[in-house]
Amino acid sequence: MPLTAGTVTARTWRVLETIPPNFKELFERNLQRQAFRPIDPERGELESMGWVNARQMLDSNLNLNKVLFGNLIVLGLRVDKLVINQKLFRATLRQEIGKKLRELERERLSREEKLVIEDKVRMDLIKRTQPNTAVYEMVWRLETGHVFFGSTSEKLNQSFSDLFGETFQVSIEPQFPFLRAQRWADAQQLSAELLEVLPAPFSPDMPVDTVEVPVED
Amino acid sequence: MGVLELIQQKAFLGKEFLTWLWFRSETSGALDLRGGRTAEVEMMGPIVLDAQYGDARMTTLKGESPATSPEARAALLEGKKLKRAKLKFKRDDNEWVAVLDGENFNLSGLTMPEAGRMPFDDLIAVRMEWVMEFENILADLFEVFMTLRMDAGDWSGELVRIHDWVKSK
Repeated sequence: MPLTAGTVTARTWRVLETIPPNFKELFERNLQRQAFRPIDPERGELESMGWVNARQMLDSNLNLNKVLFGNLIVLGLRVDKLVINQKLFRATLRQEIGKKLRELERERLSREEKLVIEDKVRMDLIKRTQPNTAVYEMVWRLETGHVFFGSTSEKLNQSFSDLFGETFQVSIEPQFPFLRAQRWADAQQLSAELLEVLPAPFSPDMPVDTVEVPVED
Repeated sequence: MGVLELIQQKAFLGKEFLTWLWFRSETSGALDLRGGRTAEVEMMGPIVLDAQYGDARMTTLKGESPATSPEARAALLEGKKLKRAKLKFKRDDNEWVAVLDGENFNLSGLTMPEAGRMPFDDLIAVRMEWVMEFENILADLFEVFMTLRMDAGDWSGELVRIHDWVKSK
């Protein structure tokens, strides 16, 4: 979802609650807490996710001046992933196991010895590998509560909504058709009717009373 | 039933909405929105149709006018509905084009009126206003659809018109 040019790809969310009056102080504190930090391989991390300046993905030193534009909060969600090349891993592992066997003048290593070598090879490769980096933009329109997140991946949207909740202490709801319909139906006092609605046959070859409903086992 | 199950079970509403937009785009003029405004919808391509239950096959149609193709008619006659489609929305002199997913209303490749060259703060504000306008059009159209859909009398009349449209395609 490029902010200043090009096309927009996004899932629409909506903040369900009223933001507190002291939101600026709360947001700034939590933005720092949930800001992006590089992957720490020593801690066994292969992935890291956090907020960055949407205009500069290397800037995770965030404050409201950098993210609040009128009634818009604009942020980047940076996701770094370390992916070990499996062919390189297997080749390096074979090489290291060979070296060890020659050193010990043995024909076989124990399972524990192999695991030690495997961990060392994995850690060495992780330290030498650059992470894959992606940044997804988010715009929150404070006035209406709409939030546009620049990815349509289910997994990423789930992670996004979790991080959003932790950062801003409000819950957000995806604007799926049924949830929009539910909000409309609640206002019209048709909530019960909405729950009963079944798929309609748009084909003239399918009579109205033959719509099938899957039966749970 | 939990919310997640309901979202899944009632996902057909989004596909019916897209298919209804398709029907209206080919049979009506402008659609009424809130506040006395109107919008026009035009089907573009590609379009993807799938069945509600039982048939796992999807029909994907590309090319210049997939929505008016014999394959589109055949898919509709089989009972398939629009799962995903590229649509053009017009309101006043402004146009938005997007691929809309019927199951979750995910937007892909939304184009909108040009904002021109301006400082970042202004540019982001203008572009987000256009995105919000699109969201408002979508929300209004969905509300028009739901008002019709949830009125048994109005909906049965609309369904007859939809059937006539499919037969005449």
